[in-house]
Amino acid sequence: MSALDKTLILFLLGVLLFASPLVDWWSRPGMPWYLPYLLWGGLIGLGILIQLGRGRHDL
Amino acid sequence: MISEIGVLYAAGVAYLALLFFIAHATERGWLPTALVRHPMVYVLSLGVYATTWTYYGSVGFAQSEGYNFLTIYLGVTLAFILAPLLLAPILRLVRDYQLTSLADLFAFRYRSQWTGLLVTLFMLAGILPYLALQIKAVTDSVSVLTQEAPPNLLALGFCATLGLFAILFGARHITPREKHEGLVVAIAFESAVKLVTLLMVGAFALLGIFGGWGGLNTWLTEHPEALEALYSPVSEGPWFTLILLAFAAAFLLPRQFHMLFVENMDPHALRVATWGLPLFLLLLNLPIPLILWAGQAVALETPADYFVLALPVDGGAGWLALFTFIGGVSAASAMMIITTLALAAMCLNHLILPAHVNQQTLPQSNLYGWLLWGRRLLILLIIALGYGFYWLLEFNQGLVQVGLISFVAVAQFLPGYLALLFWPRATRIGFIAGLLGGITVWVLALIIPVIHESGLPMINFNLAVFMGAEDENRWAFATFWSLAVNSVLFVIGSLLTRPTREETEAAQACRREQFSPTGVSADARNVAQLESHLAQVIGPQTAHLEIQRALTDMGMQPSEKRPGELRRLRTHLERNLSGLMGPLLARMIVDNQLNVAPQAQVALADSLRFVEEQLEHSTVRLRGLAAELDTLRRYHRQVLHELPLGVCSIDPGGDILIWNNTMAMISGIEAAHAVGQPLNALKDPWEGVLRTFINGDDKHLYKLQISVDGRYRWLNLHKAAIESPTLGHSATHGLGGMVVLVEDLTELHNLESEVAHNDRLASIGRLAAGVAHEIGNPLTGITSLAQNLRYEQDPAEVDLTVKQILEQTRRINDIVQSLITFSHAGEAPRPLPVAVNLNACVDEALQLIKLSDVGREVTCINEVPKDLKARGNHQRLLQVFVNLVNNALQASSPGDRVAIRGSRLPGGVEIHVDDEGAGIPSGLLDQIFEPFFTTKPPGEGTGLGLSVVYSIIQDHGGLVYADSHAQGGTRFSIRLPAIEEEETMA
Repeated sequence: MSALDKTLILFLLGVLLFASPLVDWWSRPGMPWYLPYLLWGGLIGLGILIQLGRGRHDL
Repeated sequence: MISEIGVLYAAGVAYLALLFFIAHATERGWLPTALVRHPMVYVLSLGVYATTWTYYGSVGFAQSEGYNFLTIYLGVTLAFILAPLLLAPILRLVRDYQLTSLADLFAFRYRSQWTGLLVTLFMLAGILPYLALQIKAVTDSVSVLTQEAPPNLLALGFCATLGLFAILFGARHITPREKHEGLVVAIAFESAVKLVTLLMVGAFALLGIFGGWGGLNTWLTEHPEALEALYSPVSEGPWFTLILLAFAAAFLLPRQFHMLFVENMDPHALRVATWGLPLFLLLLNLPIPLILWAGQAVALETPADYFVLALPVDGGAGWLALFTFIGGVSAASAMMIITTLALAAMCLNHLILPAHVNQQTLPQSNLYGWLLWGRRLLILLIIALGYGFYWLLEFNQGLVQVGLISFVAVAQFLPGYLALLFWPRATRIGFIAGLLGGITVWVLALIIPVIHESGLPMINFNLAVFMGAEDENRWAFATFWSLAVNSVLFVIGSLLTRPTREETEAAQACRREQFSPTGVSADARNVAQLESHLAQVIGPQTAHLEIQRALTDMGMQPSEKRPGELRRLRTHLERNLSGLMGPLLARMIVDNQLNVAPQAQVALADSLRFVEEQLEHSTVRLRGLAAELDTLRRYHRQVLHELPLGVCSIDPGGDILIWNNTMAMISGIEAAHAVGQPLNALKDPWEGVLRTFINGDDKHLYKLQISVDGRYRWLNLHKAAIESPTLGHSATHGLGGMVVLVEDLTELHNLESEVAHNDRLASIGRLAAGVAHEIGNPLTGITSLAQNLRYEQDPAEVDLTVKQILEQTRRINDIVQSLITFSHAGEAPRPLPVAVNLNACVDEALQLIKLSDVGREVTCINEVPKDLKARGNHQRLLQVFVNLVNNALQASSPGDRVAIRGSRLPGGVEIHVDDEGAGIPSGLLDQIFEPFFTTKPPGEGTGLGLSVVYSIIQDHGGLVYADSHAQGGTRFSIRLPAIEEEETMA
């Protein structure tokens, strides 16, 4: 899988988490206050992993 | 300590002075380059995204809209995840074409002054309230700290200081093309200050107000409504709208575009920014709920927008409040400085300069200074306008509301931006129509209601309410309808119009699909002419500097005359001028002054080179079939370059297209110095050799002897005309010309000479006994005559005896000379072919053979006509006949005859050497001319004789073959080319 494919999958994951009806799932009552930050941080972590796997000239 | 306005003003000024120092230290090189160029500095500089809206306004936003405040940063995160698709191509474009603003980018793609003008005016209208918002945030923060209304002078002083900073560090260089390292580092420092102070306030809230993590949890347990107030608006509020707006703002806001693309010093830093900026924003927003809850816990009376500041004041942490105030100044100043710089560049390129160029009022001297001061004045003017807005408008809206108006405004550029990347069919009419439609909805749905609510005289109209929507949904309404109208008009307008040639070229350049150069310079024949044409518009001084700069960038010499290179220089000049004056004016100046003939045929060599360059740069973007074809192309090119034959391809105009590695090795001319050059630019003897061969009728030239640097080389040349493989218009349409293959035979020739020499030595060995015998006879005679001479008294007899001695001596001399001639043949450079009398040559060969003891009892008959001549080399043909007759004698039995006959043929002569020997088996006839092939027992033959014959006759352009007679015996036949009439006469 190329880095671009991974990027697109990560983007779709981001859209799924933060720009889809799934937002209602993680924002329902009873969720810890820091949950959005955890999801956000997870997305950033995956982004770091993808960037680490890229070649120097592959942007 | 902080209740005094003077103290706050002094702190603000001291902080800005620190920024001055950081920027100055960077520009002076006092900071290590590794730090200045570190990707994290780039990432932090992108933190200019976080303004006072984030710094102060996020808490207020969180109070009213719960976690919706995160959308403003989650949208940026999604945009940066897509950086390889969304941002990297624009970064390449901005760097390649030296674009300095979003207006430049759109004007470059949609090729119209109206595009640049509209984008600039709309951006000004959309962003000026945002600038005013920053001034308001700073003055409000002062009033929160001092509990009194700040004087107007404070805001004015703040604006004046920022204007000075922007001028000193953002408009410092002669040309806007150059990066402002000092500015970037200062803005990165500001981001770090924002982050650290906000984290400190967050820590103060957690530890100082709640007493730690446990206290927070207890408070949250006791106040479940606080958490509920954060989560519940998520499903009710404009979540998706805000995500979309932030997604667009991430790269379309003037300050974001400026820091992301224009001030980028290392394209690879963008890789770090794809996660670095989202991480920065996450950390920046982490304390926001804590600060909000802490403010609520201590029941602050200050509006939530300023909890960040009020919380430390209320908690008695004066030092933290001061730091927080500095952080707010930081957020406001970074945004204002960068936005002002970006807007000033837009205004200069798309409002001021076009008017001057159209009226031909550009200064003829010191254009750089004029542009620099123009930018500086615009910076002051824009900051003054921002101050004017601040003074004029009473911001009844929260910080976030005003910011969102700007976000909806810049989102109107999203359709144009995406089309620039992915839709080459888009036209400027579509872009302008879409933008005007979006602006109209933006004004009706947001601007008029906001102005009305601000108390200014304005009609009470709200498009959202008019259309039946609720006012709370104004952001979703305005965003959806403005973008919908914008996109629909954009698509319809584009489909109803046809892109102009310039737009098509620009679209190809945006997608890196521009595979043919745009034209050739028709007038300029050298660099000096190019400079003089350019000087007519931008003045001689600027023209000279621009030419020098372009020459340096391209690594060219001022003496460059190659049309292709001049075209590349012209293209580079256009890009440099684009950085100075915007893409449209640069194109206009270059088109008008450096006359372009768009219809003129672009040199094929130039086209191919351009295509190669484009493909090299677009490697990472090719996918699917295109990628496969590119791989195939690279393979073919590699094959061509690694071919062990010299390959040289010439276009119809006489320019060299291909010059492969072997050709470079044979000629000693590197490909870089040959490709694109006309033939006559090659050094001797290559220009003459190639030109004569290409213009000649022969498709093949064998064993051409040339002298290169005092050494002889032997070459085979082959040529073929190249037919056009394509139909229709394309970069390589009309491909033609000639391909020349060059075969270096020098090593083979040297080997052959060695073989022939060995053969001669072998022959001389065989002749040795005969030579001794032949020389012995006259020597005996001379000895006898000399002895008789001692006693001879009669002068007449003495005279006769001396004559006889001399006769015998001449006989010996003849034998020795023949031997010397034979043994030296081929060692020296071969003389040019001349007419050779074949009868005499055969006679000489027979004389030599008589010296050997081979076939003494065989009769040799020379029946070659006395006047039969052939074009050739006497000594080498002598060796041919010696070898053939020798071969015939060895095959003959005592009493046999060997006959050498000759006759004329149309276009040549034919010689037969017939013997009456046993003949050669038909199965061996194909092998007898191979080196070292012999039917004789080991030690009796070298197997070189006939192969030498074959090689020499080949060199003469002739044929040699053998037949065995049915009745026995073998016939060797030689065909040699005829000689010209005059040579015959001679």
